[in-house]
Amino acid sequence: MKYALFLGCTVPIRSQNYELAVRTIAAGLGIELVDLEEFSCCGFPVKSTNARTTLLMAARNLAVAEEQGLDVCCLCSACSAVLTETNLELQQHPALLREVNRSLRKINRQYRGSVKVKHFARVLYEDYGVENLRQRVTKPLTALKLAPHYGCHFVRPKGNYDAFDDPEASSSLDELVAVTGAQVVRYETKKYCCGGAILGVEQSTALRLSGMKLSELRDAGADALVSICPFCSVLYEDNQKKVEEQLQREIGLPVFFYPQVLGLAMGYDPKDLGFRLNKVRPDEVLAKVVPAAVG
Amino acid sequence: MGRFGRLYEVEDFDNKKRQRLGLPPVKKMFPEVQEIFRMTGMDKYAQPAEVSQP
Repeated sequence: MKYALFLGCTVPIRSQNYELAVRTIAAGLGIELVDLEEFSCCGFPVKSTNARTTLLMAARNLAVAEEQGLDVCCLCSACSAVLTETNLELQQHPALLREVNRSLRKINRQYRGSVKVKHFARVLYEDYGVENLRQRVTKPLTALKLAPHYGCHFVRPKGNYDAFDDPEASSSLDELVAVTGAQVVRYETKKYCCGGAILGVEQSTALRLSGMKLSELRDAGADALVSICPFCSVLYEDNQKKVEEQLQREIGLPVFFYPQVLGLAMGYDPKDLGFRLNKVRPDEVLAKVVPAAVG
Repeated sequence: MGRFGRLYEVEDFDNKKRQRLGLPPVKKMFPEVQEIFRMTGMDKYAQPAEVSQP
């Protein structure tokens, strides 16, 4: 298995713990991730302002991967969504592809439509396979109660993702968490957006939305929320103090990226999985599964 | 984004931090994205706001 690693904007600057964990477990699983310097922003942030700009930026990134003969593996769910959607549009509409290529030629690029795009969690779920992952678990996390957070873009819209999971009753991330041996927390607000989509417009509402989930999980006795999107983690982790101020209650719920969780179950040292960069201290939770690793 | 091709500006500090963590550097500027912004007219929105005189 070999993919071009699409980091996007947030992961390399704000979520290096995610990136470290991905690189560590990918190497351990024999998944080759190739860095392509020419990958820029996916285009998602300007989609609501100018969809044409997003189309060209996404098409350019797809062309960069195609030039190297590689499929794309994304770590961010928004990057995954916009690259997948653009790819489908270009593959299904030859006239649009020709028209986009007229613009791409001005920057010496061309896209033929041969690339596949997948989120890293989907690569683990489908390409590596849940049963194969089970074989790699050496330290089951049976002491942990973990709550999977799917976010808005990982499985929706269903048609864009070959219906690989059901948006109304998603189970892929639950299965990925369960394979680590952890207990999967079932909860009411599971399908809620993190609030990130409106953070820049109406912070109070965004925080209220993330606070609903964090409160429920704290009350449910979850040890951590498990994320697969750096921007969702910006809400749940980076903004958790603001959520606490708004709710007038302490939450203190660690937010882990799924590859960190899988890495623990595979027996990796937390240092190799970037846990020291987690902003909500994970020490108490880590002590339940790797006591020797916590000071 | 129109200037850097990324949502966040990547500075030398960021790449030094990445190096300390054992991560590869990331590119700081994308002239091709600047050209896309010019093609679509988005470069006009990417200009710094004018400061109004009192």
